[in-house]
Amino acid sequence: MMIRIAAFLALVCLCTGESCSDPVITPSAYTTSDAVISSESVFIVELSLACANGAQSVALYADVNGRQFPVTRGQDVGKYQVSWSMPHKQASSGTYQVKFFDEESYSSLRKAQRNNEDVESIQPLFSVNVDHRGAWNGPWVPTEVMAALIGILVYYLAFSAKSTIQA
Amino acid sequence: MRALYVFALLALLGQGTGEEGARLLASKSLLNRYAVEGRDLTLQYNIYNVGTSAALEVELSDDSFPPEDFGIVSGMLNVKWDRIAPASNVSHTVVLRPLKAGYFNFTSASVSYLAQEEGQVVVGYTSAPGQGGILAQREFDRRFSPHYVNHLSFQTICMVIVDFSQRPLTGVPVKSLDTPTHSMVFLYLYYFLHCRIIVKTSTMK
Repeated sequence: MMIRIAAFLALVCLCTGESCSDPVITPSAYTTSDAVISSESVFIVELSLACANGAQSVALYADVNGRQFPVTRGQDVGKYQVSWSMPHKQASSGTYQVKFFDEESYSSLRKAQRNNEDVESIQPLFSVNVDHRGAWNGPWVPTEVMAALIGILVYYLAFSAKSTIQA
Repeated sequence: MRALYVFALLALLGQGTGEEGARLLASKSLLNRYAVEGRDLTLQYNIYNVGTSAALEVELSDDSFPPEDFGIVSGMLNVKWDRIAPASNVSHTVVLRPLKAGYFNFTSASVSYLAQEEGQVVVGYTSAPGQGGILAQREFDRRFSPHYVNHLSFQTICMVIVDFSQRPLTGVPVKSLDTPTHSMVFLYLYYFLHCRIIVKTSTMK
């Protein structure tokens, strides 16, 4: 009898996966700031997760603006990373909200998507806001063009002043 | 006879299950137009599962960047995924900062995974971007920085040469704008020489 109960409990533990209660996160984010050197805008969110119940290998899934991906795990326990890239034109500046789901809430999210239900009502485990300042593309007018225009302007002014003096 | 049939059936089944399983293709690419010393270098790893079942315990590990030559800005070089579903892909990005200029050979990272549950560990390698040059900070600035100070100082010098003052008209016409250093020929020559200097220094190795 005891063996059967133990086996049943073991099976339950294996099947449900680990869930996290009271997650405490330390996030850090990186976004591309220089569009001259990089060919695409890249967003990286790294975080360390600590759970109150001591759960260690929690599987997480991330959702950003409707795109979902599994969260990469680092070698150290509790370290996760989400990264995505998009062309510079599409990466507008502003705040991107990254929602993190565990197995349960992720499967209910997928179910809601399939049935076209309200996706916003599924509560994520936690979410991180990423501020993107926008990538710098270089000055609007190249300085050589500006210098040439100013040079032409100065020459014109000097020429007209000379004509006025000599007239 | 029946044993032969059973044996043949088992052999066929064995053949069938041999082809199933996960198969991962991985690529490593640089998302940079230029690699510059001291500026961000973005690397992207894409892993595609072209097999028929999920790949389990996928580990990507990149040891090709010595810590004294590359600093890590963001991201991790050794990561893992629990599973990659069939016909799906995952992408991973790392941002490094080259600490030295010169040529560098970007080699492959390694990917290990289980093609089936309880299967053997399969080890593969990503594609390699190959040899690339990392520009020194000074060379990159010569070509691409706006050269504000250069242009400003040149324009100031030109303004000093050109004399805008309106002198009272006397019998002798004002000569200040007709001397050799104040003619338009000189101004053209001066600008041409200045531009030549900028171009020459930017193409110097």
